[in-house]
Amino acid sequence: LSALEGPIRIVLADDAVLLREALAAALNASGFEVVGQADDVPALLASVDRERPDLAVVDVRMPPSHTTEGLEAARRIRAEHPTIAILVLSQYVETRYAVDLIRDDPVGVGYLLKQRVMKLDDLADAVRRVASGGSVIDPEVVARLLGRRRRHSPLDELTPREREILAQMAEGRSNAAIAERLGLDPRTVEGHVRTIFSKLGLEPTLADHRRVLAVLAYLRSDSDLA
Amino acid sequence: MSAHAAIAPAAEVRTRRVPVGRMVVVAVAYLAIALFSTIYPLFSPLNGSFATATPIDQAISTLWTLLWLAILLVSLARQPQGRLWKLVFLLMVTQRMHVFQWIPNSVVWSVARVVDPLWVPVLVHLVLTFPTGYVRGRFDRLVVGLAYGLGAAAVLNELLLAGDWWEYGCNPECVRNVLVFWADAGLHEAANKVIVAADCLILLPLVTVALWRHWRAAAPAARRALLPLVVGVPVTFGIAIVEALSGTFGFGLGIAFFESPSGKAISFVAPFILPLGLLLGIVRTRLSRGRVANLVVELGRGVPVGGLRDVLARALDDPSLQLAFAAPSGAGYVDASGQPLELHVDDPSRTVTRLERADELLGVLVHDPAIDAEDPGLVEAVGNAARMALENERLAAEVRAQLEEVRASRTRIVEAADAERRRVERDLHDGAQQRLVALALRLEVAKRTTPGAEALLDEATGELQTAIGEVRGLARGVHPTILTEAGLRAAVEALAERAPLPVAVDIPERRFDPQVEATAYFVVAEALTNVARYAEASEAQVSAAQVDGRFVLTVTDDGRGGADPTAGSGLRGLADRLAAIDGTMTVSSPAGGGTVIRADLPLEAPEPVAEAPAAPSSLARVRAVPDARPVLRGQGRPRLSSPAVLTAIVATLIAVVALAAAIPTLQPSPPETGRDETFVRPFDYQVPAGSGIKLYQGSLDTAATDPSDHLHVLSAPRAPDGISIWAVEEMNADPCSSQGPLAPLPPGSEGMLGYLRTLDGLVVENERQVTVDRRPATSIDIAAKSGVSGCPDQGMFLWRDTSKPVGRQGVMTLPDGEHVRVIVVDVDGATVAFEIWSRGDFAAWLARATPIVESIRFLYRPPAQSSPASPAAP
Repeated sequence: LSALEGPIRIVLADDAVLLREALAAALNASGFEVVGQADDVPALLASVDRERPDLAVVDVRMPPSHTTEGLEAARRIRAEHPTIAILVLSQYVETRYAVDLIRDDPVGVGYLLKQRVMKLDDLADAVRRVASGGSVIDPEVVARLLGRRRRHSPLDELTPREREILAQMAEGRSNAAIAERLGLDPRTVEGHVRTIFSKLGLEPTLADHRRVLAVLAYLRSDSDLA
Repeated sequence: MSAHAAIAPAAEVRTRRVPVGRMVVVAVAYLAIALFSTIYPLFSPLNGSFATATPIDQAISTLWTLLWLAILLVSLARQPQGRLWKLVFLLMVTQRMHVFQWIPNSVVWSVARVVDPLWVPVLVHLVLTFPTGYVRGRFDRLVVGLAYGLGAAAVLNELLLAGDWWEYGCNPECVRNVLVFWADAGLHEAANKVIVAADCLILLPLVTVALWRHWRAAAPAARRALLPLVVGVPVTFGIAIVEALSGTFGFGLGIAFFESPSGKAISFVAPFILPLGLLLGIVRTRLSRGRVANLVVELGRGVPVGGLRDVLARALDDPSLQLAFAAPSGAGYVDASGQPLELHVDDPSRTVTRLERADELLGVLVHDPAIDAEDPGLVEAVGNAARMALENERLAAEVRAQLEEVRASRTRIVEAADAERRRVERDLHDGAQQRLVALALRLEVAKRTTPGAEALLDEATGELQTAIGEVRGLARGVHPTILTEAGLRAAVEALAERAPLPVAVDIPERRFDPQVEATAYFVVAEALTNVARYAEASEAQVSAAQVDGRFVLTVTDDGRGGADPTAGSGLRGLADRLAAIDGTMTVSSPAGGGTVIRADLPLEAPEPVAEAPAAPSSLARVRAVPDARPVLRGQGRPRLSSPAVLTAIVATLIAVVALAAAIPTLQPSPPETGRDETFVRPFDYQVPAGSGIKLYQGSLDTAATDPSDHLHVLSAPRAPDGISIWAVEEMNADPCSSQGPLAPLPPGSEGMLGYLRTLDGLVVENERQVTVDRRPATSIDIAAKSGVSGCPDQGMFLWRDTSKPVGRQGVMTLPDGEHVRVIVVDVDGATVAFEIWSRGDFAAWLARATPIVESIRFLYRPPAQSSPASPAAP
């Protein structure tokens, strides 16, 4: 992914004009540079081709059918321009979209609820993380997955601290970021991570971006339900 | 006009009058033909074999004639409107056509020969349509089509292949087949064998099978009529098959049998079996009275509501019968179950009859017009007999139709409500929610850019967040976006994720009808809410599956049970909703045993019937149509062209088979003295004297080499008849000279032809002489061909004209003294090479060759610049 010499350059796609304009203003105010706006998929792809931005922010729901055109567009951008990061905005929590999205290639991909963008700090944080190659999963998605009631789940064996760290991992944060966010020593975080992985029976040596997927897939799996 | 239009007032009751006048005319015509066909041969100058017929033969012939006359008259009297007697008459005519062969006139005689074979398909047609005269059912259509196909093949065989029939002599004139296309006795006979074999081994057995099917399907009354035929036809066919096969293929045993006394007796008796069967069958036909009586008995036993159509269909022997009632809305028609019914009034193979009492329409029958044809008045009689039952059925249908309308309107209401919910959700999502989020973002920006107002703006943002949350919740309750966008499974998973207890979801990952998805979703949402509130369950399960074309959804919990589906408004509302789309919901909730809610709904939501179709005003136009054409038609499936197409296909197939079978007989005349005599022979085109070029005709078309390098075969185009014509050029002693002595032939050659004969498998080196230049249009190519044979004074034009293939034009010389000769050689039917020998340098000649080119301009148009050839390679 491109080094961050100047401001992060963003192409923004959303068919709701009001929201898109507001979002552009907010992103510009946060020190990013919105270099293109699109209200449908062809315009988005054209803008991406033209501008080669660092990041494309894409609404899931786009014309013509207003279903998952945005996701399809995101996949195409990933396929054609692997270096352009993608931040997908969704109207509602669809954990499957999130997992599907990062399954192909978790580097520089994010899935954020639209309500999240109202917190400019959260938005800016997500943009920076994704643009620098990280993965971002909306905390509500993670909370939904973690909060799902299960029967006899290994999750029950996690301590509250471990659950907290698991959630941070699922949101896409690295050990260092988790340590910083929770005010812990990085070594402590590493220890917790090892414990969590062993309790859940996951491969402990996963790289940061791979482990997001592993954790999400684990949380989403239904095998421990029926 | 609409398909539900319009029925005429009751068809007038046709009385059964015996059409005496017509009977007399038909009888006279028939007798005239019969008499003529019997008497004329006696006096025919062709002196036929009938003259030698014994009195017994003549008596039998007369008896047979009278028997058919009886059939003709009885069938005409019984069903003057019907078809049966027409078919009988047609059969008589075709059977008598042979008489015209006794008339010593080539045209009459040829036509008679050609028409003669047609009596077989007519007979099949008659047998298979007995006693109505109308073909019914796919299988029968197939067999009748096959019969006519074979007939057509036989006609074609006579028409195209049969030669002149010299066996009748030439007194007073030679009778010729004026229609002959390609006379070939061997081929004709072979094709005839194939056709007879197909008739005997395929057609007649199939007819027997079809007849047996009639018998199996027939009601007792109809069986009375069919019995004589069912017995007689197999016997007749069996005899006919043995006789025909023996005669045609010369089976000694069969021929001997028919020569024996018992064989002769059978031959005498056999022709009577079929007509006797027909006559008996017609006499035994008691269609209407028996049917109506049966109907009355059946009605007396009581008809279940909705069962009247079947009873009437049996009584009228028309399985495709439709019984319709006026729709309660006053527009269109409904069936006994109240479903709107499309009447096939535009279908000429259906007839519509109104059944009414006083001025009130009881019902409408749509039936096969053959019923009217075979027994006029039967439909009305049946309608009268069933009047009470009709009245009951009509009332029942009315009630059901009203119920159906209510159901449809309920479906419409649910659909409208769903559509409204989706619209409201879209509005909330696209409108209020977007605006609120955008506003929140603006506030965020403002917070950054406007120091000092943070606290105020924070408060405003908080309010906004709450408002957004509320709007989202509202939208979700109205209609979940995820359901519209991602489908039932995703939406239910989202419900499960929000549920306060573990919920296992097992729903196929596919989209269903929006109605089905919405209904199922609301059932799950309501059920899970109830589980969470009352069931005290530890877990729940939602599963959906497709079972027998229905969508079955189950929500199970392990709670305390005892749920009362009639109590809360939630479940009852859902049950109503399900009922509206033809679904059901069952709640099984024993105390302490958990709760199972099962919803069962159609995979496709029923079409809400818009408005009952058609207008009542059109109720006066269609008359009962007794003369509609039901021939070769399926029940209620109009396929006018299929019998014709079928017949054509069968005829073509048979013709092809006949030809294929006959091809081995098409041997070319054998060569008289080995192949050489005709294989290679001089061809009498004019060849310039002393040119050394000779043209030969033969069947060579392969390339061969002349081992002595003595001659060039300039061309070996293959003619359509497989005979090649090629030019052979004797070489000069000096190959590059057009003058001087010819190269001597090898010893023992006996001239050029003799030499050619020694070349077993003469090979033509076409490519060496002529390279085909496939230019798309007329063109002349000089340059590339100069010096083709390695001689500097020799060259070649290639001329190609795709528009008028010159073919084998032979040799052509051009009046140019400077050039020795020009030969036109057809290369491939489209390209012609002009080979030009010049005395001097060819390239130099080409530079001066314009006059020549112009002089043959009628053949081609030279290109704009036909550049001179480059000098030949030395």
